[in-house]
Amino acid sequence: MDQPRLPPPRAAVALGAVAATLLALPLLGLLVRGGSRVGDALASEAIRQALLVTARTSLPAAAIATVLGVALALVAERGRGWVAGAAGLLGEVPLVVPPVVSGLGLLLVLGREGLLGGALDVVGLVPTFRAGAVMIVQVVVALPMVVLAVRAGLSTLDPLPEQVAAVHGEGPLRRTLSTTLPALRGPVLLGAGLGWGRAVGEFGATLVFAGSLPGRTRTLPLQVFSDLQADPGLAAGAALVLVATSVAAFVLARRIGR
Amino acid sequence: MTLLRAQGRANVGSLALEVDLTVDAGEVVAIVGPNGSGKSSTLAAVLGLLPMEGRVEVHGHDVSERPLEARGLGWCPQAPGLPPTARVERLLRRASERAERGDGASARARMVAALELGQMPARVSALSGGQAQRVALGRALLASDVVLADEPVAAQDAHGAALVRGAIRAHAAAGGGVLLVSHRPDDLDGLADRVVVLDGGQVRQHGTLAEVRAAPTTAHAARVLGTTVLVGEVDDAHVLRGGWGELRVGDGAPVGQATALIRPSAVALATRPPSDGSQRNVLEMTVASVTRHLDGVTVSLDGRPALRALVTHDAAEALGLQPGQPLWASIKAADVTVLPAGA
Repeated sequence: MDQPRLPPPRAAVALGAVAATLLALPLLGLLVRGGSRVGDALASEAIRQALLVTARTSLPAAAIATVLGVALALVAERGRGWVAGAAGLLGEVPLVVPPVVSGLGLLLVLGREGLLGGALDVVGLVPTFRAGAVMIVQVVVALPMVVLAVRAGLSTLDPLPEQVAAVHGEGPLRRTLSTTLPALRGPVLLGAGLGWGRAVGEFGATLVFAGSLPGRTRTLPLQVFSDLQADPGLAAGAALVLVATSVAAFVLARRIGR
Repeated sequence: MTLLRAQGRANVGSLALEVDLTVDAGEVVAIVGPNGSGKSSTLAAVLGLLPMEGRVEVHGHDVSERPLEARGLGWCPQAPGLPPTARVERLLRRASERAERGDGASARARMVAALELGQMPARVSALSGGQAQRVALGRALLASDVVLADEPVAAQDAHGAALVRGAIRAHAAAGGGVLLVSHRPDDLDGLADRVVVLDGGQVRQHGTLAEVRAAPTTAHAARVLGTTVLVGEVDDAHVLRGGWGELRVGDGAPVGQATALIRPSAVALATRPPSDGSQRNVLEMTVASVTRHLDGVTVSLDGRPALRALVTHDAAEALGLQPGQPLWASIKAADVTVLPAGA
């Protein structure tokens, strides 16, 4: 953008200050209460384990959600008829459904007593209360972030380069890989960053569907929650570790995407 | 051999578009017409981007039911349509991979040389408008022997325009065919073999550039081909008068309202007033602009009436043409085509 930008109206500055304050308050609380306890948190075996569980589940989950989300966004934006409508709706529904509800729904289908539980049990693949369950939940909550970001990118993308690639003999898959996706680098990375942040922070659905088993399914948010009763300061320290990693990764994703 | 044949109808908003054209091997065909006449839409219909009722044949095969990627065409759109993150070299390589004509690498090397694509930034995002247009054309010419090009000269400076015209002519000379869209008559001299005149979505006339220039059936066709169009009234002394001045027209011109057409090639130029000769119209003019192209020099002249003249490079040299220079233009009355009013 080389164009000079004109300043925003004063009313926006005033209201923006209110918004910024609201957003900064929780961070301030964490810093005041947990700032001095970050060292303790990092020294805690339980928190270190939770951090490891979080990393092991959320990174693959974000990668899977990115691949699947890009595909769903392509169907939603470029598909025709009810299929495109359904893809778009499904891709964004988890945003407005409370995660606990998503977790319950997953439990009712994939749990041992669920619709598919019997069949999964026979082959020994019931995912509940395993790391796999944490990943499934994280993919579900991360997907809408990817779908939203990529759809926004696709809807404003100039269709001409793809049309030229098509005329010059590139079929749907080839021109998507050669022309569409490179132009969507920014939105894809933004979606991946947002989705990963969402996966790292996932709480309700994980608790319902995967449980809170230390070393297996207890992610950092669940650890923060369980520390809250006994030692709120330690919980705040652990929360700061969580915030720092998420923000760093998100900022990095945006940087690369630009 | 006919490389491309398209016939049919399509709807573009409220415009009912008639598509009727052929491009033979070795030929450059230009679609001309005013803005909104359906030129680019005609290309879109042939490409398969615009639904058309009818038939498109490429190399004699009906491709009407085929998707875009299976029609075997090359396309250089008016906005170049290059992916902004791509590298020029890669785009050219991908385009030439499809064509499978001879050695891809040497074809690319020739194209890079012909359009001077080697002296450009490697990345599409760093290209200027004219450079991007040349890359888009190079890509299209590498992708197929049947190429559709939308205003390929529009974004070029004089040097770039010469490169583009050379590359298009070379493509035709090598047995290819090019269908191009243009609204500037100067772009067509020495470039197009035939023209299709489009107005309001309908094909009004087609023929060789010389035929349509010599006998345009509508004032519009004349105007787009660079002919001077004058509207006025013929009196019984065979003089056509209008707000623009007056001209002696042929003896057969009927008295009354009329439209006169003067081809640029019918206008002779001299530095002194020609004293005797058959020309009935000798006019004092001032050179407004001089455009050099492959098969001549087009001179825009201010005067009563304002005219355009097409002269050879030799003649332009001898006259020492410069904007602002006073000149004498002469036109034989018989060289003024008179159409009845309203044509």
